[in-house]
Amino acid sequence: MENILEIRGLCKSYGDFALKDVTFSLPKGYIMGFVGQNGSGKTTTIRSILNMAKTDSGKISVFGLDSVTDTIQIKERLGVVFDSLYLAENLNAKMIEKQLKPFYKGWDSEEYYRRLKDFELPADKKVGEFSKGMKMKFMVAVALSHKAELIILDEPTSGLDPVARDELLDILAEYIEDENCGVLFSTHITADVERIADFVTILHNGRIWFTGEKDELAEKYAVIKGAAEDIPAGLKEKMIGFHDYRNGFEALIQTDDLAGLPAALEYEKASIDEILVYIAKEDKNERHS
Amino acid sequence: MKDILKMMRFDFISCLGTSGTAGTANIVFGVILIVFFLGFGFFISPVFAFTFIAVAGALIVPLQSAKKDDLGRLYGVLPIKRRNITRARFLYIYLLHIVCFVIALLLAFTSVSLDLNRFLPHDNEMLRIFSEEFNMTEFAKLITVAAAFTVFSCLMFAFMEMMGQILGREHEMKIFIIILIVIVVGIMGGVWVLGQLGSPEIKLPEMPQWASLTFTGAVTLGICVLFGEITAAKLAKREL
Repeated sequence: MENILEIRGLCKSYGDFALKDVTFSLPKGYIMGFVGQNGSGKTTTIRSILNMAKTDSGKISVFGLDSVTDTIQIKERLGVVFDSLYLAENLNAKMIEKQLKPFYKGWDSEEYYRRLKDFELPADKKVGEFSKGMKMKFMVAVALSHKAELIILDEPTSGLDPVARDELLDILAEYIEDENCGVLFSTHITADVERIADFVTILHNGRIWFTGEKDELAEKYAVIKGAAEDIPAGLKEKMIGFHDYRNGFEALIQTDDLAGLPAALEYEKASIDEILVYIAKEDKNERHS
Repeated sequence: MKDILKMMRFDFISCLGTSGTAGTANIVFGVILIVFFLGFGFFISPVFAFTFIAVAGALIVPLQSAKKDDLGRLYGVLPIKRRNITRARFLYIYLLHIVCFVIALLLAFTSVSLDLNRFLPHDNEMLRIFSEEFNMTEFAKLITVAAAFTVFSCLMFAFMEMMGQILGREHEMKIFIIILIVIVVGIMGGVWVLGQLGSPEIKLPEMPQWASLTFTGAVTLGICVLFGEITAAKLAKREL
Protein backbone atom coordinates (compact mmCIF):
# COMPACT_ATOMS: atom_id res chain seq x y z
CA MET A 1 0.00 0.00 0.00
CA GLU A 2 1.28 3.44 -0.94
CA ASN A 3 1.30 5.89 1.95
CA ILE A 4 -0.22 9.31 1.44
CA LEU A 5 1.12 10.47 4.81
CA GLU A 6 4.15 9.23 6.74
CA ILE A 7 5.48 10.49 10.05
CA ARG A 8 8.73 9.06 11.39
CA GLY A 9 10.22 9.83 14.80
CA LEU A 10 8.54 13.20 15.22
CA CYS A 11 9.69 15.01 18.35
CA LYS A 12 8.60 18.43 19.43
CA SER A 13 8.72 20.01 22.85
CA TYR A 14 6.92 23.03 24.29
CA GLY A 15 8.02 23.63 27.86
CA ASP A 16 6.13 21.06 29.86
CA PHE A 17 4.68 19.20 26.88
CA ALA A 18 6.49 17.07 24.32
CA LEU A 19 5.68 14.91 21.34
CA LYS A 20 7.99 11.92 21.61
CA ASP A 21 8.95 9.76 18.67
CA VAL A 22 5.59 9.96 16.96
CA THR A 23 5.54 7.49 14.08
CA PHE A 24 2.59 6.42 11.95
CA SER A 25 1.47 6.29 8.36
CA LEU A 26 -1.77 6.56 6.43
CA PRO A 27 -2.17 4.56 3.23
CA LYS A 28 -3.94 6.03 0.19
CA GLY A 29 -7.67 5.44 0.03
CA TYR A 30 -8.30 5.24 3.77
CA ILE A 31 -9.56 7.28 6.68
CA MET A 32 -7.50 7.41 9.84
CA GLY A 33 -9.01 8.42 13.16
CA PHE A 34 -6.46 10.28 15.23
CA VAL A 35 -7.60 10.09 18.82
CA GLY A 36 -6.40 11.01 22.24
CA GLN A 37 -7.35 13.02 25.28
CA ASN A 38 -7.31 16.80 25.14
CA GLY A 39 -3.68 17.88 25.32
CA SER A 40 -2.31 14.58 24.06
CA GLY A 41 -0.60 16.24 21.09
CA LYS A 42 -3.04 15.73 18.22
CA THR A 43 -3.16 19.37 17.20
CA THR A 44 0.61 19.76 17.56
CA THR A 45 1.09 16.79 15.24
CA ILE A 46 -1.30 18.30 12.70
CA ARG A 47 0.43 21.68 12.96
CA SER A 48 3.73 19.92 12.33
CA ILE A 49 2.32 18.25 9.22
CA LEU A 50 1.21 21.67 8.00
CA ASN A 51 4.64 23.13 8.78
CA MET A 52 2.99 25.57 11.18
CA ALA A 53 5.06 24.22 14.06
CA LYS A 54 8.80 23.72 13.90
CA THR A 55 9.74 20.17 14.78
CA ASP A 56 12.76 19.28 16.91
CA SER A 57 13.45 16.09 14.96
CA GLY A 58 11.78 13.54 12.77
CA LYS A 59 10.53 13.46 9.23
CA ILE A 60 7.09 14.05 7.81
CA SER A 61 6.23 13.27 4.22
CA VAL A 62 2.97 13.97 2.50
CA PHE A 63 2.41 12.56 -1.01
CA GLY A 64 6.05 11.45 -0.75
CA LEU A 65 7.16 15.09 -0.41
CA ASP A 66 9.00 16.64 2.52
CA SER A 67 6.66 18.67 4.73
CA VAL A 68 9.23 21.44 5.26
CA THR A 69 11.03 21.85 1.95
CA ASP A 70 8.03 21.04 -0.27
CA THR A 71 5.39 22.68 1.88
CA ILE A 72 3.91 24.79 -0.93
CA GLN A 73 3.47 21.85 -3.33
CA ILE A 74 1.93 19.86 -0.49
CA LYS A 75 -0.53 22.59 0.48
CA GLU A 76 -1.71 22.84 -3.14
CA ARG A 77 -2.94 19.27 -2.78
CA LEU A 78 -4.06 19.40 0.84
CA GLY A 79 -7.39 20.35 2.39
CA VAL A 80 -7.59 21.40 6.03
CA VAL A 81 -10.61 21.66 8.28
CA PHE A 82 -10.06 23.10 11.73
CA ASP A 83 -12.47 23.08 14.65
CA SER A 84 -13.43 26.67 13.83
CA LEU A 85 -13.55 28.70 10.65
CA TYR A 86 -10.19 30.17 9.69
CA LEU A 87 -11.49 32.24 6.77
CA ALA A 88 -12.61 35.88 7.01
CA GLU A 89 -15.95 35.61 8.76
CA ASN A 90 -17.35 38.82 7.33
CA LEU A 91 -17.07 37.66 3.73
CA ASN A 92 -19.61 35.59 1.90
CA ALA A 93 -18.81 32.38 0.04
CA LYS A 94 -18.58 34.23 -3.29
CA MET A 95 -15.93 36.64 -2.00
CA ILE A 96 -14.00 33.83 -0.35
CA GLU A 97 -13.90 32.02 -3.67
CA LYS A 98 -12.39 35.15 -5.25
CA GLN A 99 -9.79 35.23 -2.48
CA LEU A 100 -8.76 31.60 -2.63
CA LYS A 101 -9.04 30.79 -6.32
CA PRO A 102 -5.70 32.34 -7.40
CA PHE A 103 -3.78 30.24 -4.88
CA TYR A 104 -4.77 26.85 -6.26
CA LYS A 105 -3.94 25.69 -9.77
CA GLY A 106 -6.58 23.03 -9.55
CA TRP A 107 -9.38 25.29 -8.31
CA ASP A 108 -12.68 24.41 -9.94
CA SER A 109 -15.33 27.12 -9.54
CA GLU A 110 -18.10 24.92 -10.92
CA GLU A 111 -17.26 22.28 -8.36
CA TYR A 112 -17.20 24.92 -5.62
CA TYR A 113 -20.69 26.20 -6.37
CA ARG A 114 -21.97 22.66 -6.89
CA ARG A 115 -20.67 21.72 -3.45
CA LEU A 116 -22.20 24.82 -1.87
CA LYS A 117 -25.52 23.81 -3.38
CA ASP A 118 -25.16 20.16 -2.35
CA PHE A 119 -24.24 21.16 1.20
CA GLU A 120 -27.07 23.72 1.27
CA LEU A 121 -24.73 26.63 1.95
CA PRO A 122 -25.93 30.06 0.79
CA ALA A 123 -23.32 31.80 -1.38
CA ASP A 124 -24.46 35.32 -0.43
CA LYS A 125 -24.55 34.94 3.33
CA LYS A 126 -21.54 35.94 5.45
CA VAL A 127 -19.76 32.75 6.46
CA GLY A 128 -19.45 34.06 10.02
CA GLU A 129 -23.23 33.79 10.26
CA PHE A 130 -23.18 30.11 9.34
CA SER A 131 -23.93 27.54 12.03
CA LYS A 132 -21.00 25.46 13.25
CA GLY A 133 -22.06 22.52 11.08
CA MET A 134 -22.32 24.78 8.03
CA LYS A 135 -18.84 26.18 8.72
CA MET A 136 -17.38 22.69 8.80
CA LYS A 137 -19.13 21.75 5.58
CA PHE A 138 -17.95 25.01 4.03
CA MET A 139 -14.31 24.22 4.83
CA VAL A 140 -14.78 20.77 3.31
CA ALA A 141 -16.33 22.41 0.22
CA VAL A 142 -13.24 24.61 -0.11
CA ALA A 143 -10.97 21.57 0.20
CA LEU A 144 -12.93 19.64 -2.40
CA SER A 145 -12.96 22.59 -4.82
CA HIS A 146 -9.21 22.56 -5.22
CA LYS A 147 -9.27 18.80 -5.52
CA ALA A 148 -7.40 18.08 -2.30
CA GLU A 149 -5.96 14.59 -2.27
CA LEU A 150 -5.62 14.51 1.50
CA ILE A 151 -7.99 16.17 3.93
CA ILE A 152 -6.82 16.80 7.47
CA LEU A 153 -9.53 17.55 9.99
CA ASP A 154 -8.76 18.76 13.49
CA GLU A 155 -11.66 18.09 15.86
CA PRO A 156 -14.27 18.93 13.21
CA THR A 157 -17.19 17.29 14.98
CA SER A 158 -16.72 18.75 18.45
CA GLY A 159 -19.68 20.95 19.25
CA LEU A 160 -21.75 19.67 16.32
CA ASP A 161 -25.23 18.33 16.81
CA PRO A 162 -25.76 14.65 15.87
CA VAL A 163 -27.38 15.51 12.52
CA ALA A 164 -24.54 17.83 11.47
CA ARG A 165 -21.97 15.24 12.62
CA ASP A 166 -23.68 12.56 10.62
CA GLU A 167 -23.77 14.77 7.52
CA LEU A 168 -20.07 15.59 7.81
CA LEU A 169 -19.13 11.94 8.22
CA ASP A 170 -21.22 11.05 5.17
CA ILE A 171 -19.36 13.67 3.15
CA LEU A 172 -16.01 12.19 4.19
CA ALA A 173 -17.18 8.66 3.44
CA GLU A 174 -18.23 9.80 -0.04
CA TYR A 175 -14.93 11.61 -0.58
CA ILE A 176 -12.87 8.56 0.27
CA GLU A 177 -14.57 6.54 -2.46
CA ASP A 178 -11.82 7.97 -4.65
CA GLU A 179 -9.04 5.60 -3.70
CA ASN A 180 -6.31 8.13 -4.44
CA CYS A 181 -7.33 10.27 -1.50
CA GLY A 182 -6.92 10.03 2.23
CA VAL A 183 -8.39 11.54 5.39
CA LEU A 184 -6.70 12.16 8.73
CA PHE A 185 -9.36 12.92 11.24
CA SER A 186 -8.47 14.05 14.74
CA THR A 187 -11.17 13.82 17.35
CA HIS A 188 -11.97 12.86 20.88
CA ILE A 189 -15.45 11.74 19.86
CA THR A 190 -14.53 8.14 19.30
CA ALA A 191 -17.98 7.16 18.02
CA ASP A 192 -17.11 9.02 14.81
CA VAL A 193 -13.93 7.02 14.45
CA GLU A 194 -15.78 3.76 15.13
CA ARG A 195 -18.15 4.72 12.36
CA ILE A 196 -15.94 5.76 9.46
CA ALA A 197 -12.25 5.16 10.16
CA ASP A 198 -10.27 2.30 8.64
CA PHE A 199 -7.17 3.03 10.71
CA VAL A 200 -6.74 4.37 14.21
CA THR A 201 -3.85 6.12 15.86
CA ILE A 202 -4.07 6.72 19.59
CA LEU A 203 -1.86 9.40 21.00
CA HIS A 204 -1.31 9.55 24.72
CA ASN A 205 0.87 12.06 26.56
CA GLY A 206 2.67 12.89 23.33
CA ARG A 207 3.46 9.26 22.47
CA ILE A 208 1.86 6.84 20.07
CA TRP A 209 -0.02 4.30 22.14
CA PHE A 210 -1.46 2.39 19.20
CA THR A 211 -1.43 2.78 15.44
CA GLY A 212 -2.92 0.34 13.00
CA GLU A 213 -6.16 -0.94 11.55
CA LYS A 214 -9.29 -0.26 13.55
CA ASP A 215 -10.23 -3.94 13.47
CA GLU A 216 -6.82 -4.87 14.84
CA LEU A 217 -7.37 -2.53 17.78
CA ALA A 218 -10.75 -4.08 18.45
CA GLU A 219 -9.16 -7.55 18.39
CA LYS A 220 -6.23 -6.57 20.53
CA TYR A 221 -7.89 -5.22 23.68
CA ALA A 222 -10.68 -6.33 25.97
CA VAL A 223 -12.27 -5.03 29.14
CA ILE A 224 -12.00 -7.56 31.96
CA LYS A 225 -14.30 -7.57 35.00
CA GLY A 226 -14.81 -9.67 38.08
CA ALA A 227 -13.85 -10.04 41.71
CA ALA A 228 -10.34 -8.98 42.59
CA GLU A 229 -9.70 -12.22 44.49
CA ASP A 230 -10.25 -14.23 41.27
CA ILE A 231 -7.32 -12.58 39.47
CA PRO A 232 -4.60 -15.20 38.85
CA ALA A 233 -1.07 -14.40 39.93
CA GLY A 234 0.84 -12.23 37.49
CA LEU A 235 -2.24 -11.08 35.55
CA LYS A 236 -2.85 -7.88 37.47
CA GLU A 237 0.50 -6.50 36.33
CA LYS A 238 -0.61 -6.92 32.72
CA MET A 239 -3.82 -5.00 33.27
CA ILE A 240 -4.14 -1.41 32.12
CA GLY A 241 -6.07 1.10 34.20
CA PHE A 242 -6.98 -1.39 36.92
CA HIS A 243 -9.75 0.00 39.08
CA ASP A 244 -11.13 -1.73 42.15
CA TYR A 245 -14.77 -1.01 42.95
CA ARG A 246 -16.84 -2.21 45.94
CA ASN A 247 -18.43 -4.96 43.81
CA GLY A 248 -15.33 -5.98 41.86
CA PHE A 249 -12.73 -4.63 39.47
CA GLU A 250 -12.49 -3.49 35.85
CA ALA A 251 -9.42 -3.13 33.67
CA LEU A 252 -8.21 -3.16 30.09
CA ILE A 253 -6.15 -6.12 28.97
CA GLN A 254 -4.53 -7.38 25.80
CA THR A 255 -6.49 -10.28 24.37
CA ASP A 256 -3.24 -12.30 24.16
CA ASP A 257 -3.18 -12.29 27.97
CA LEU A 258 -6.63 -13.77 28.27
CA ALA A 259 -5.48 -17.38 27.75
CA GLY A 260 -6.25 -19.56 30.79
CA LEU A 261 -8.52 -16.92 32.32
CA PRO A 262 -10.65 -18.30 35.21
CA ALA A 263 -14.34 -18.65 34.35
CA ALA A 264 -15.21 -16.27 37.19
CA LEU A 265 -13.71 -13.37 35.26
CA GLU A 266 -15.65 -11.91 32.35
CA TYR A 267 -14.37 -9.98 29.41
CA GLU A 268 -15.74 -8.19 26.38
CA LYS A 269 -14.34 -6.30 23.41
CA ALA A 270 -13.10 -2.84 24.31
CA SER A 271 -14.42 0.19 22.45
CA ILE A 272 -12.03 3.02 21.55
CA ASP A 273 -13.73 5.14 24.19
CA GLU A 274 -13.05 2.52 26.85
CA ILE A 275 -9.46 2.16 25.73
CA LEU A 276 -8.91 5.91 26.15
CA VAL A 277 -10.53 5.86 29.58
CA TYR A 278 -8.38 2.95 30.82
CA ILE A 279 -5.20 4.52 29.48
CA ALA A 280 -6.03 7.64 31.47
CA LYS A 281 -6.80 5.55 34.57
CA GLU A 282 -3.46 3.77 34.21
CA ASP A 283 -1.74 7.16 34.47
CA LYS A 284 -3.57 7.88 37.72
CA ASN A 285 -2.66 4.42 39.10
CA GLU A 286 0.98 5.14 38.36
CA ARG A 287 0.80 8.43 40.12
CA HIS A 288 -0.86 6.92 43.17
CA SER A 289 1.45 3.91 43.50
CA MET B 1 6.04 38.51 -7.14
CA LYS B 2 2.97 36.59 -8.32
CA ASP B 3 2.40 35.34 -4.79
CA ILE B 4 2.70 38.86 -3.40
CA LEU B 5 0.11 40.13 -5.88
CA LYS B 6 -2.23 37.26 -5.02
CA MET B 7 -1.85 38.06 -1.36
CA MET B 8 -2.45 41.79 -1.90
CA ARG B 9 -5.66 40.93 -3.72
CA PHE B 10 -6.53 38.63 -0.84
CA ASP B 11 -6.03 41.43 1.71
CA PHE B 12 -8.01 43.88 -0.42
CA ILE B 13 -11.01 41.54 -0.57
CA SER B 14 -10.72 40.94 3.20
CA CYS B 15 -10.86 44.69 3.80
CA LEU B 16 -13.77 45.26 1.42
CA GLY B 17 -15.76 42.74 3.37
CA THR B 18 -14.66 44.04 6.73
CA SER B 19 -15.04 47.79 6.25
CA GLY B 20 -18.46 47.22 4.62
CA THR B 21 -20.95 50.06 4.83
CA ALA B 22 -18.76 52.24 7.05
CA GLY B 23 -15.87 52.00 4.56
CA THR B 24 -18.08 52.83 1.60
CA ALA B 25 -19.60 55.81 3.43
CA ASN B 26 -16.10 56.99 4.29
CA ILE B 27 -15.05 56.89 0.64
CA VAL B 28 -18.19 58.69 -0.57
CA PHE B 29 -17.77 61.36 2.11
CA GLY B 30 -14.13 61.85 1.13
CA VAL B 31 -14.97 62.24 -2.56
CA ILE B 32 -17.70 64.81 -1.85
CA LEU B 33 -15.35 66.82 0.39
CA ILE B 34 -12.59 66.90 -2.16
CA VAL B 35 -14.75 67.67 -5.17
CA PHE B 36 -16.81 70.47 -3.68
CA PHE B 37 -14.64 72.07 -1.03
CA LEU B 38 -11.24 72.15 -2.63
CA GLY B 39 -11.86 75.36 -4.49
CA PHE B 40 -11.87 77.32 -1.23
CA GLY B 41 -8.18 77.33 -1.13
CA PHE B 42 -5.17 75.22 -0.69
CA PHE B 43 -4.94 76.03 2.97
CA ILE B 44 -7.57 73.46 3.74
CA SER B 45 -6.04 70.89 1.42
CA PRO B 46 -4.57 69.04 4.39
CA VAL B 47 -8.16 68.34 5.34
CA PHE B 48 -8.69 66.71 1.96
CA ALA B 49 -5.49 64.80 2.17
CA PHE B 50 -6.46 63.67 5.60
CA THR B 51 -9.86 62.61 4.34
CA PHE B 52 -8.25 60.35 1.80
CA ILE B 53 -6.00 58.95 4.43
CA ALA B 54 -9.15 58.09 6.31
CA VAL B 55 -10.35 56.38 3.15
CA ALA B 56 -7.11 54.47 3.06
CA GLY B 57 -7.75 53.67 6.68
CA ALA B 58 -11.03 52.06 5.75
CA LEU B 59 -9.06 49.65 3.62
CA ILE B 60 -6.13 49.07 5.95
CA VAL B 61 -7.43 49.22 9.49
CA PRO B 62 -9.65 46.15 9.05
CA LEU B 63 -6.50 44.17 8.30
CA GLN B 64 -4.88 45.35 11.46
CA SER B 65 -7.87 44.55 13.58
CA ALA B 66 -8.46 41.15 11.97
CA LYS B 67 -8.40 38.23 14.37
CA LYS B 68 -4.75 37.28 14.44
CA ASP B 69 -5.15 33.65 15.39
CA ASP B 70 -7.52 32.83 12.62
CA LEU B 71 -5.41 34.58 10.01
CA GLY B 72 -2.40 32.70 11.32
CA ARG B 73 -4.15 29.43 10.69
CA LEU B 74 -5.27 30.51 7.25
CA TYR B 75 -1.71 31.48 6.35
CA GLY B 76 -0.62 28.06 7.53
CA VAL B 77 -2.99 26.44 5.06
CA LEU B 78 -2.43 28.56 1.95
CA PRO B 79 0.18 27.36 -0.55
CA ILE B 80 2.34 30.45 -0.25
CA LYS B 81 5.63 31.34 1.44
CA ARG B 82 5.13 32.99 4.79
CA ARG B 83 7.56 35.78 3.93
CA ASN B 84 5.50 36.72 0.89
CA ILE B 85 2.39 37.05 3.04
CA THR B 86 4.18 39.62 5.18
CA ARG B 87 5.78 41.42 2.23
CA ALA B 88 2.41 41.65 0.50
CA ARG B 89 0.85 43.34 3.53
CA PHE B 90 3.38 46.18 3.48
CA LEU B 91 3.23 46.64 -0.28
CA TYR B 92 -0.55 46.70 0.00
CA ILE B 93 -0.37 49.57 2.47
CA TYR B 94 2.01 51.46 0.19
CA LEU B 95 0.06 50.86 -2.99
CA LEU B 96 -3.22 51.83 -1.40
CA HIS B 97 -1.75 55.15 -0.33
CA ILE B 98 -0.43 55.81 -3.83
CA VAL B 99 -3.84 55.03 -5.30
CA CYS B 100 -5.54 57.32 -2.77
CA PHE B 101 -3.03 60.07 -3.50
CA VAL B 102 -3.62 59.87 -7.25
CA ILE B 103 -7.41 59.80 -6.81
CA ALA B 104 -7.21 62.78 -4.45
CA LEU B 105 -5.24 64.75 -7.01
CA LEU B 106 -7.56 63.84 -9.86
CA LEU B 107 -10.56 64.94 -7.83
CA ALA B 108 -8.80 68.09 -6.73
CA PHE B 109 -7.90 68.93 -10.33
CA THR B 110 -11.53 68.37 -11.35
CA SER B 111 -12.75 70.53 -8.51
CA VAL B 112 -10.41 73.42 -9.34
CA SER B 113 -10.96 73.18 -13.08
CA LEU B 114 -14.74 73.23 -12.77
CA ASP B 115 -14.62 75.81 -9.96
CA LEU B 116 -17.11 73.75 -8.02
CA ASN B 117 -16.88 75.93 -4.95
CA ARG B 118 -19.09 78.48 -6.69
CA PHE B 119 -22.00 76.32 -5.61
CA LEU B 120 -21.11 76.85 -1.98
CA PRO B 121 -21.95 79.94 0.12
CA HIS B 122 -19.14 82.55 0.00
CA ASP B 123 -20.21 84.85 2.78
CA ASN B 124 -18.10 82.98 5.31
CA GLU B 125 -15.23 85.24 6.37
CA MET B 126 -12.82 82.46 7.07
CA LEU B 127 -13.40 80.78 3.73
CA ARG B 128 -12.95 84.14 1.99
CA ILE B 129 -9.59 84.60 3.69
CA PHE B 130 -8.52 81.13 2.65
CA SER B 131 -9.46 81.85 -0.95
CA GLU B 132 -7.54 85.12 -0.98
CA GLU B 133 -4.55 83.79 0.87
CA PHE B 134 -3.90 80.84 -1.36
CA ASN B 135 -3.62 81.29 -5.03
CA MET B 136 -5.88 78.87 -6.84
CA THR B 137 -3.43 78.47 -9.66
CA GLU B 138 -0.73 77.03 -7.39
CA PHE B 139 -1.70 73.46 -7.90
CA ALA B 140 1.83 72.41 -6.99
CA LYS B 141 1.25 73.41 -3.37
CA LEU B 142 -1.70 71.06 -3.12
CA ILE B 143 0.38 68.23 -4.52
CA THR B 144 3.15 68.85 -2.00
CA VAL B 145 0.80 68.99 0.98
CA ALA B 146 -1.16 65.92 -0.14
CA ALA B 147 2.11 64.05 -0.75
CA ALA B 148 3.38 64.93 2.72
CA PHE B 149 0.21 63.66 4.34
CA THR B 150 0.23 60.54 2.20
CA VAL B 151 3.83 59.75 3.15
CA PHE B 152 3.13 60.39 6.81
CA SER B 153 0.05 58.17 6.81
CA CYS B 154 1.73 55.42 4.82
CA LEU B 155 4.73 55.25 7.12
CA MET B 156 2.56 55.39 10.20
CA PHE B 157 0.36 52.52 9.01
CA ALA B 158 3.40 50.50 7.95
CA PHE B 159 5.10 51.09 11.31
CA MET B 160 1.93 50.18 13.19
CA GLU B 161 1.63 47.03 11.10
CA MET B 162 5.22 46.07 11.83
CA MET B 163 4.95 46.63 15.55
CA GLY B 164 1.50 45.05 15.68
CA GLN B 165 2.74 41.89 14.01
CA ILE B 166 5.94 41.68 16.03
CA LEU B 167 4.67 42.67 19.46
CA GLY B 168 1.05 41.61 19.09
CA ARG B 169 -2.11 43.48 18.16
CA GLU B 170 -3.00 43.98 21.80
CA HIS B 171 -0.15 46.52 22.03
CA GLU B 172 -1.36 48.51 19.04
CA MET B 173 -2.97 51.34 21.01
CA LYS B 174 0.18 51.75 23.12
CA ILE B 175 2.26 51.87 19.93
CA PHE B 176 -0.05 54.47 18.43
CA ILE B 177 0.20 56.66 21.53
CA ILE B 178 4.00 56.31 21.55
CA ILE B 179 4.13 57.35 17.87
CA LEU B 180 2.03 60.42 18.60
CA ILE B 181 4.22 61.39 21.56
CA VAL B 182 7.38 60.93 19.49
CA ILE B 183 5.96 63.10 16.69
CA VAL B 184 4.85 65.86 19.04
CA VAL B 185 8.15 65.82 20.95
CA GLY B 186 10.04 65.68 17.63
CA ILE B 187 8.24 68.71 16.24
CA MET B 188 8.60 70.69 19.47
CA GLY B 189 12.25 69.71 19.72
CA GLY B 190 12.85 70.67 16.10
CA VAL B 191 11.21 74.07 16.60
CA TRP B 192 13.28 74.65 19.75
CA VAL B 193 16.53 73.65 18.03
CA LEU B 194 15.77 75.87 15.05
CA GLY B 195 14.99 78.71 17.46
CA GLN B 196 18.34 78.20 19.22
CA LEU B 197 20.13 78.22 15.89
CA GLY B 198 18.42 81.44 14.89
CA SER B 199 16.21 79.76 12.30
CA PRO B 200 18.90 79.01 9.70
CA GLU B 201 17.73 78.72 6.15
CA ILE B 202 17.78 75.08 5.14
CA LYS B 203 18.58 74.68 1.48
CA LEU B 204 17.14 71.64 -0.13
CA PRO B 205 18.43 70.52 -3.52
CA GLU B 206 16.30 72.01 -6.23
CA MET B 207 14.55 69.64 -8.54
CA PRO B 208 11.35 69.56 -10.55
CA GLN B 209 8.28 68.55 -8.56
CA TRP B 210 7.78 65.28 -10.47
CA ALA B 211 11.36 64.32 -9.58
CA SER B 212 10.96 65.15 -5.91
CA LEU B 213 7.67 63.23 -5.80
CA THR B 214 9.26 60.23 -7.45
CA PHE B 215 12.18 60.41 -5.05
CA THR B 216 9.85 60.69 -2.03
CA GLY B 217 7.72 57.83 -3.32
CA ALA B 218 10.78 55.65 -3.81
CA VAL B 219 12.11 56.40 -0.32
CA THR B 220 8.69 55.66 1.20
CA LEU B 221 8.50 52.40 -0.74
CA GLY B 222 11.99 51.54 0.47
CA ILE B 223 11.00 52.13 4.08
CA CYS B 224 7.83 50.04 3.67
CA VAL B 225 9.86 47.21 2.14
CA LEU B 226 12.37 47.50 4.98
CA PHE B 227 9.59 47.31 7.58
CA GLY B 228 8.21 44.30 5.71
CA GLU B 229 11.56 42.53 5.69
CA ILE B 230 12.16 43.24 9.40
CA THR B 231 8.71 41.87 10.20
CA ALA B 232 9.16 38.82 7.97
CA ALA B 233 12.53 38.07 9.57
CA LYS B 234 11.07 38.33 13.07
CA LEU B 235 8.02 36.24 12.24
CA ALA B 236 10.02 33.54 10.47
CA LYS B 237 11.28 32.42 13.88
CA ARG B 238 7.78 32.24 15.25
CA GLU B 239 5.23 29.47 14.86
CA LEU B 240 1.82 30.06 13.36
